[in-house]
Amino acid sequence: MNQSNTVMMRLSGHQAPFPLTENTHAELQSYLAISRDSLTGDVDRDEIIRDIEASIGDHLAETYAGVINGEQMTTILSSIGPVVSGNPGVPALTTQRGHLPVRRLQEGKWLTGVLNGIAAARGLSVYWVRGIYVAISFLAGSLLAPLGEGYPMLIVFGVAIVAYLIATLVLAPVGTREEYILTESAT
Amino acid sequence: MEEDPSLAALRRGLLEVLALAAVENSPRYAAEIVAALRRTGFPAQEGTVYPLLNKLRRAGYVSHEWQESTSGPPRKYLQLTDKGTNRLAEFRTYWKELTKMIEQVGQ
Repeated sequence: MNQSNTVMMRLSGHQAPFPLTENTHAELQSYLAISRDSLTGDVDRDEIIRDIEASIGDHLAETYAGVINGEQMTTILSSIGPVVSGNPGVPALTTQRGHLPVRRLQEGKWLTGVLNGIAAARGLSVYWVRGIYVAISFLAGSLLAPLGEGYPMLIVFGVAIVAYLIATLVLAPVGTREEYILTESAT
Repeated sequence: MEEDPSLAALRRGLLEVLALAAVENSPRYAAEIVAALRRTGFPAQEGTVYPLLNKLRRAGYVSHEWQESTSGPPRKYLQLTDKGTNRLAEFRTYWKELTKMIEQVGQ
């Protein structure tokens, strides 16, 4: 009943590679990639992923023999659960890139968490979002500069500030990254 | 047992302390800690516990030691440091204060 080829995958901490179906291999790679994303900025990221891999290997070795199929892998990955960074204030990515609704994320915010929340919802580094917000303001201001004596820059920054305030009123806050991911993730 | 989200949130806040308490009496490796938590009814998952254990190690509350195992790969055994022992004691004191708070507020 083997519709797909068997892939031999090495897992950290285990000498013998594990036989997986192609789909199972893809599922596991996806889980590990998402887990790595969740740990962006965590200094122990690589070590945690190695430990998680080793743990997956332990579960596989203890529970199943032969080629691991999708259902078996899903059981194990569900038991292990999503990897959640222990680090507050880390620009961690979400479990589903760009799929979370924007909230004002309080954990790691500078002002009211608007840009922090946008970064978390889209899976971007908050430093990029902040930098781009400011950079675009400057760019818009300087492009409009020929229209007046410094007024365009003031107007553009005024608009940027008002937009930020409106976002603060409109977006609902959420306390921690963990709470945000747990309550807003679609799966 | 039904999962009331507020109660679950309260319990989630305890995870750090429970992890320290799990290695209070003897060194344990990560999977053992997860199993110990589950045995007492806390629905622990490796995905949450492993990053937390690293955070505790970075904070200096636990230290680890590799030990060879006959039945598999070498394992990282975690134990409390002095700082970790103090932290746990601090928490237990605070827990008693919280309990008193709940009792006294209605009087």
